[in-house]
Amino acid sequence: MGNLNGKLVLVVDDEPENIDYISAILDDHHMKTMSANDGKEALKKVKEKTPDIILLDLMMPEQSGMGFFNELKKNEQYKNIPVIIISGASKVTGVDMKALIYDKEFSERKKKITGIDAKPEAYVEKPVDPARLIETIQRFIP
Amino acid sequence: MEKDDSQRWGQQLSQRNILLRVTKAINSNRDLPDLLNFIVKTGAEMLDAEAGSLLLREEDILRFEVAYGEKRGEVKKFIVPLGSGIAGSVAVSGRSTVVNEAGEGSGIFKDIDNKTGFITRNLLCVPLQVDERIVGVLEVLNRRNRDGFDEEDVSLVEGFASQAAVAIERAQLVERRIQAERLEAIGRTVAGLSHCIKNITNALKGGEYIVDKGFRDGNMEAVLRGWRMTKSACERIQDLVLDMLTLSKKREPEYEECDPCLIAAEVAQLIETKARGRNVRVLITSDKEIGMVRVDRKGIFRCLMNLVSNAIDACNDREGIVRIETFPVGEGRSFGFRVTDNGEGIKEENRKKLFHEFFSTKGSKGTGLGLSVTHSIISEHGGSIRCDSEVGKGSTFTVELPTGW
Repeated sequence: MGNLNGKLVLVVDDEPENIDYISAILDDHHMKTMSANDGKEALKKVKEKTPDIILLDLMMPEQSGMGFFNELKKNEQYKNIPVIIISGASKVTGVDMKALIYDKEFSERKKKITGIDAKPEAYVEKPVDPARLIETIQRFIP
Repeated sequence: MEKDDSQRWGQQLSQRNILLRVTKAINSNRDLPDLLNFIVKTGAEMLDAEAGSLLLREEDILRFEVAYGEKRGEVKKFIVPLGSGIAGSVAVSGRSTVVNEAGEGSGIFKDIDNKTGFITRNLLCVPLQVDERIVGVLEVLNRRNRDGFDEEDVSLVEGFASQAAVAIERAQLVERRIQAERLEAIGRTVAGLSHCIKNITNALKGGEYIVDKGFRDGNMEAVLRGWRMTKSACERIQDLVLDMLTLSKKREPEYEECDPCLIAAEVAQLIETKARGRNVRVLITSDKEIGMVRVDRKGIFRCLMNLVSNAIDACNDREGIVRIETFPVGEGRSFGFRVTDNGEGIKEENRKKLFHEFFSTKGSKGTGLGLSVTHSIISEHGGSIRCDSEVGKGSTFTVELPTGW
């Protein structure tokens, strides 16, 4: 279990209220939050200051959450930052989260098609349960 | 007793005519239950018989679907195993069977007679067959005015049955497709709804968490912020329910006399705060020539509100300008609203899906119901809605409605 104290978390969500909620949870566990409203802004923020972990919403206008994820994992410097997906119904996001994280065949197909050999560390479903979110972050924080 | 030739010819001719009429009727579009009733009734009437029944094949059984005659109410529920009794044997062999002396050992499924009180004197059973597939059997029972069924009866009913079988198979296919589409639609609705509800619940939980934390930290500003979040989530639930109800039933608009320019003005006034927060200017142009109209005022207000609210969202923090215009169409029989923005525009592929339920490009904020509802209300009025858009330049939604006079 990683020590959460003072860790920097990037929260990517198009909805300010969701960011507000998650940063309140993180604050209660002495973590620091920076936020971005879409994929483009998220990439900019990562370049400004490398976060310890990223919490990413998949349903966003502009660049999709998955688009940002793929960009991140293509970049040598940032590809090791753990990413936790936070999302509502996975079917509507157009991404099969379970397959993405647990299905080996899917990963191999994805690698073949996109050249990206990476998957998110985990996903937490909306509505976000604070205890579950913290427990998940703890598993992946360096 | 021999019939004379002219009588026989006359009868054949009228039977051929029946067959022609029946073929036409079968091939008109009807749903399955209606079609089956028609087939069994016609089959019995064709041969001047007392009763008839139709059984459809389901894997290794035949199920009585419809019956014609006095006892039809009682015979419907039976199931016959394939190969059992006359119907069961015909369904296996594919060969028509006539029994003119029904008694012990005739193969007639006595159970059914015993249960219904119907006494089968004679019986003609033909397969309902399409190519090699036997979809069921048709039975005609108790020929009136004669001792039993003859060769001609068999060939007449066989001719009819082969047409009927094709029609049944087609109706079954249609029914299965409708069923599948219905299930798919339910699935889509449930997925879309659960997504909306998860997002709203997230906001509710978020509000609750922030209020709690605010109290713990003695931070009244946070308490207020969390409380606002909770309240807006409640409003979203209310809107979602209203949208779902509007979409779920075909309702009659509640027409009342009103001024469309006033509706536009009210919308602009109500949306003012949201527009200012996004740095968007809302401009109104009203053509007073329209005068008073008869529409569902609340419904049209909701449509216009949806369109203007979308237009503001589309401006996405650029120097946004949203125009609301009301204008007369034709010679005063219709009028229109036009909502134009200089926002980001709608991609061609998204434009096609604009009015689909649960389609949204707004991320977790959108329910994907606003434009479906708008479309549905406008259709109820016998009006139309059109979208013109260019990516990077903006979009225009044009609504045209009858004045209702």
